[in-house]
This record gives sequence, C-alpha cells and structure tokens, in this order.
Amino acid sequence: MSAEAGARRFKADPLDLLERFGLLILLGIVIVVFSLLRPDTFATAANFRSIVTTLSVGAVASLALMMPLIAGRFDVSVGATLGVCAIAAAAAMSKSGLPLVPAILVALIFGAVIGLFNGVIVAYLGVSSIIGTLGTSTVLVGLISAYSKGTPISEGLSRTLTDIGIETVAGIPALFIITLLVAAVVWYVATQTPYGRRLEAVGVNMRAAKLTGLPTRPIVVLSFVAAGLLAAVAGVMQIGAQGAADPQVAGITFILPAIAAVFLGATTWKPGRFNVPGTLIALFFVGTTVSGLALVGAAPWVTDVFNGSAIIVAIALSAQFRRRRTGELEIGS
Amino acid sequence: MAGPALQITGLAKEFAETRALDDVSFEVAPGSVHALLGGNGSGKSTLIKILAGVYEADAGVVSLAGRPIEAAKITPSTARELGLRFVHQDTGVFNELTIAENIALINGFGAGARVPWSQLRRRTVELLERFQIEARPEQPISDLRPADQTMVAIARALEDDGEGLSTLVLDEPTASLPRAEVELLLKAVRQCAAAGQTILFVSHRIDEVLMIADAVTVLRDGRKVFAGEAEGLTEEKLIGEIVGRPLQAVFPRPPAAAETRPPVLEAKGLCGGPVRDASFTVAAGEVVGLAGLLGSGRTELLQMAFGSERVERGGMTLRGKPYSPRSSGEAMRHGVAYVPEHRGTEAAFLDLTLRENLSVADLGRYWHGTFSHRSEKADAGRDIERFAIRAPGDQATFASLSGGNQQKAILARWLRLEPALLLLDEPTHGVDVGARADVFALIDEAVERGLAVLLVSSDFEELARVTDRVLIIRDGCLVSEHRADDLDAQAITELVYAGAVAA
Repeated sequence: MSAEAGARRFKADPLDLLERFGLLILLGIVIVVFSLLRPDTFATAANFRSIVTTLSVGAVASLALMMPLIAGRFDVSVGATLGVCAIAAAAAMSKSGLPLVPAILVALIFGAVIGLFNGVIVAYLGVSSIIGTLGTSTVLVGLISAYSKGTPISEGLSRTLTDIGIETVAGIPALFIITLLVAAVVWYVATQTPYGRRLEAVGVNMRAAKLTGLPTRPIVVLSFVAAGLLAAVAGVMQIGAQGAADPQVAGITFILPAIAAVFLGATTWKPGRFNVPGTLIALFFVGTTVSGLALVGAAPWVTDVFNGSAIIVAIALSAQFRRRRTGELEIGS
Repeated sequence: MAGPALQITGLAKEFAETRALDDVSFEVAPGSVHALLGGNGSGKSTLIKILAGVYEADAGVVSLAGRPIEAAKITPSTARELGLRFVHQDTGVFNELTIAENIALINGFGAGARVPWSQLRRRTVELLERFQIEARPEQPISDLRPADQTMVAIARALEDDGEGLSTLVLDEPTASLPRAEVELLLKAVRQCAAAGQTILFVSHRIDEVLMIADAVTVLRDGRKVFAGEAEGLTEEKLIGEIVGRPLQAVFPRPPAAAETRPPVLEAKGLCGGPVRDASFTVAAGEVVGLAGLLGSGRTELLQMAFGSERVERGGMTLRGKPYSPRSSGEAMRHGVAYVPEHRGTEAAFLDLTLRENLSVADLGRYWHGTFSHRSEKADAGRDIERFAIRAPGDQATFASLSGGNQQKAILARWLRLEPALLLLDEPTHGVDVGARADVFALIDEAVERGLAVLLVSSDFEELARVTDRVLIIRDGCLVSEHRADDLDAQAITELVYAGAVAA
C-alpha cells in the first residue's frame, strides 16, 4: 500500500471507513466487553498469549486457503494437508531421526506435492475445485489413519519445536511471531509481485485473463502449491503448539474457523477482495469471541454454532458488497 | 378463416431521442410465411420484443385472429394467451436432456406429483409425428442434427395449439445453423405452413426469405418501407429496400500498387470454425475493416490471428515470419493485441481498480525485484490523461466507470504494449458518441506510428469512415475487397447482404 493510497483512505466517506475498519472496531469491542465481564480470567496477559498461540496455526491455515480463493478456487484439503505434513515432519524426526530443518523440508515437500496434485486436477482436468480437493482431502485423511493407526507421534521430536508453543520473545508468543512473518511473506507475494496481481485477475475474470495473455492454468496451479506449502508450515507449527503430531487434527472441521476468517476478511480492510490483514483480523475476531464465550460459561456447542454462522454471514456479506460495487452477486466459484 | 392471423396497427416506440418504430402497420395472412426484413437499427428486433412483451410499446394495436390488444399491454403471458409463440436464434433446448424432457420442462409434465412417464412418452411421440421429426422421445436432444433440434423447439412452442390459431415467430432461426442444415429447416418450416401454421419469419438472409416467404415486409429506420407478395421479388429489389436506394454495383478494388506497404499480417487460405479459405493482408499504418453479418465468421477470423481459435488449415505470416500462435500469450509476445467484442466478460476486470486494469497485460515491466508502484501510478496517470479516461482517480473500481471509459482503458492497456497488429472486435459497442471519437483518434495516432489494425464493426458508417480498406465476409468466405473511398454505410450493407451479387 503506497503512501498516497493511505492518504486517500482517510478522505473516504464514513460508510467506506466503516466497511474498511468495522471488523477491527468490532474486535476491539469484543475485547473490551469480555474484559469487563471477566476481568480476572479474560483480561490477563496469559489469556491473550493463549488465544494468540492457539490461533496461530489457524491463521497460517487461513492464509493457505486464501491463495487459491484469490483465483476463485476453493482448497478444501488444506486441513488434511496440514495433518499429513505434521505427521510427515514428526515421523521424519521420530522414526528416521532427522534433525528439525530437514524434517521441515520433508513437510514442505509433502505440502508442495499435494498442492501440485490439486492444482493439476483443478486447472488441467477441469475438476470443480471444491469436489476435487474434497476427494484429495478424503484420501489424505485415509492415508493418515493407515500410517499412524490413530496414535499421535510425540516421541523423538525436536525439543526446539515442541517447546516453541510456550516460547516467548519480549512477552510475545513465538508462534505468533512466526505467523506474522508468514503473513508478511504472503501479503508480499499476493500484493507486491506480478504473480499476486495476475492471481487476482484470474479470480476476477478468468476469460478476460486468458484473453489478456495471462497463463491462467499455471497461475492456478501455483496458488494450490502455495496453499500446500502454507498448510505444511501450519502443520509444523501444529506440532509446536501441541507438542505432538496428532492424526485427529486433519480434515474439514479443524479449518472451519479458517474458512470463516478468509471470507469474513474479504468484507473488511480491502472490502470485496481476499486480503491478508482482513483475514488475520477476522480470525482473531472469531477466535477471541469463541474464547470469551467459553470463559463466560457458554456450552461447547456454542463454538460450532458461532463458527458456522460466521461463515454464512461472511459469505453473504461479501456477496452483497460485491453486488453493490459491480452489480454482480457471485463471488468465487 | 377470414381476416388476418396477425395484424399490427400503428405500432410506435421511442428510445430516448430515437424513433425505433414509427407507425408500423402490416398484416399476416393465416397459413402463410411472412418475412420481416431490415438491417441494423431498422426496428425489426424492437418489434419482436414488443410482441414478446419484453418492451412496452408507446402506441399501437396488435390483433391475433381478430382479438385485439393494445400493444403497450402485452406481457409475456398475454402474448402466449393471445396465441403468439416464439422460437429464437438460441432455441433454449437443454442438450443433456431427452426430447420428452425438453418438451415437458417448458410445457409441463402433466398433473400430479409423480411424472406420468408413459403419458409423456405418448404425448411426445404424437408431437414428433405431427411435425414429422424422426426421433424417439427418450433420445437426448444433442443426438439430433441441428435443424431437427430447432424443429423440436418449434414443436414445443406449438404443442398446445391444436387448431392452428397461433402465430409462430421465428427470430433468426438459421443464424447459427451450418449451411447444410438451413435448407432442411426451411423445408420443415414450409411444411408447417402448408399444414396451416401462420409464421412470422425474421431473418437477415435474403436468399432464405425468397425461398420460403409468401409475403415480405421491410423495415428501415423504424418505418415500414415495403410490403408485398414475395412472388416476383428479386434479391436486388429487397436489398434496395433494406438499404434505401437502388442497388449500385460496387466493384472490388484492391489498393493501388503505390499504396502497398509491407504487410504486417498475411493470411493464406485460413480455415477454422466457420471461416473458409481466407486470404488477406494488413499492412503497417493501415486500418482494414472486416464487414459481415452475425455468424459470418468475422469474430473467429480475429481470434485465429490472436491464437484463441484453432486454425485448421492455411497459415499466417507476421512481419514476414511464419506465425501460428497456440495461445493468446504467444500472440502477445509476437506483438498482436486483441480487444474482444464482449467487454464485460472478456476484457474488463470489474472488481479491480482502473490502475490495475491498465497494467494487467504487462505487469512484468514494474517488477525489478520489488514492485514499482510509483512507476505504475505514473503510467496510469499518463494514460488517463492521454486517453481522456474520466474516472475519480486511478484507484476507482473499474465497474464504476462508464462503458466508454472502460473501453478507452482497455485500449490503453493494449497500446501500452506497442503492438504491431491490433485486432478490434466491435470496439464502439455500448460506447457513447463522445468516447467513440476519442477511441478512433487514439487508434489513428497509433496507426500513424505504424500500427496495423484489423477492425470488425457492425456500425457500417463507422467502418466506411475509419478504414482504408474493407473486406467483406459472408458465410465464412472473404467475398470481396474494397477501398474505403468507394464505400459508404449503404454500400457496405449491400455488400454484406448480397456478397457476390453486388460485385
């Protein structure tokens, strides 16, 4: 975002400002309300650290979802990919005795290969992205349970990794710092490189992108590879957060808050477009609300209802915003 | 039956300042094929849309089999009640479904919650027999040849009309049919009429009209200019009525030898899609027009030169070197640019900003390890000024711009690449008059610097004014080539309708 654009933003009319920063304001309100309600449990540094740590993996997973979504494609397999990569990295350390860095590389290779596979079936074989990646996801979950027999891998893992969930730098949880670094990279690729701009063009109008000479298929494939790589990073972070690679952490329910975050994120900051700051704000809004509700004694089912509703509201809202701007209703496909 | 099957009296419609229809009256005799003819902007499609209840007429009465209704009060459902049935160029059949399902989806499956399949089958067999279509109800409609698919659509439209009191409106039914299918369809339509069906046949193909019609009405500039029996009419006479002056032969005249410059694009025997054996050249600093009717292959010809339509036979050279692009990207790398016909779906990125739309075809130029927003912004500012694009700023959402300004931006996007050849498909479609002038001023400027332009436009006045040469394309064949100096809009109209006849 250039300085001029920043200056322009503050000249915009109040409704525009509300659209851009509404969710951020809402996040502030949620924090204030719960802090007033539960000053001893909610409004503590420890609780904030815990929220931030818990949400870090989800934040990276939501960025993984975001990349293909910018191109108008949905990668449902992000959760399963995350699970596979976590198990792969853990197995590399625990069973093959690899040090941390090569183990991370193993996870990244798994993620990239899965992403490449998804991208090819979507872009070259013309499979609907939701159906195609749902298939991949189901296969991956099956493979995880075949390999792990349902038992978590917690022995022989790198201590550096398993401790990172409780590590802090200047009071800030290390996982959160990693999340911010990853987010910065994704933001850079998505908005500051020709690739990111082409990705967006493909998502906005596939046919026009083709007739403008953009290599639409490779662009789409790359977005799935990026999703796979980010899911791998999230998978490794998951080991750090839990201290083990848990085969139960795979599949779609785990990434529900991430889905809500990406769509809700597209209604804020840069309304109508999938964007990194919006996604993070949305994820922390959803996560903080859920955590606060738990602390005021809401039953566990409230979380599911809240996450589900957030997705519906987010998608409906972003479709409405889009219609207001372009007269068209559909968002993505 | 006494009296006309369809009578239109004093039909009028105005859009803003233009009179689309001005006191049009004619009648259609029962059991006859009545052709409605007219060029672009003649009011022919406005009339059909009023009958269908899409547009509201300003004045006039439409009466069917002696039952009158005010034309302004026609809605799609009253049109149906009165006995008007429509089959459009896009017949609205569902390829994946069977014939029986195609019929039942529109006309109803029959009473009851359960689909009475055996009854539906019987009903469909009867209908197919009535219209002499050789097919079985359970066949998918895509199994049928194109002419029979249209016939199923016709049968479907007329299913509930046992007494033959209705009038069937066929709106350009042959425009998207291959040549061989047209004759079959016309024969079948003729049979319908022989069985007593009244038909209003809208077409821009004069040879077809002469083959099939009993009577002809010609509209020009919203007025009825001719009505009469088809017998004894000639192609020349009808073209003269459509154009508005007696036919004058315009002889093909290739450019004088002194004017010929080295060609940028040279096509030899190009075949693909509807295009047959097209050979032509476009030289540097030259605007070549391509005039033809809808479905003549004009768009496909441009797309072949842009690598987005397959070339089956023949070849092209670009600046003297063999040129056979397999994708748009490859065509662009060779210096070819293409502004497609449908701006909204094929060229505009409505959700993106104006600045992003301007630079989307050439983002690489701003990338030197980091993205130079500053020079992107500077370029956008320069183009907005140079192309007189009216927008609140370069960060305005593209959807918020008017059609004319969007088109200028798309043109700017391509001219930035300094192409050698610019392919333009209906560049002023939906563009206001002021912006049109801007668009052509900008094209002229680039042409002076050596750009070669191939322009498709159905605005023949524009075509005659802005081009150096005009190629006439008819049924996929380039039939003649003319100097623009010899042409005006009427002459081009004559040529696209008559092709070889005028030459």
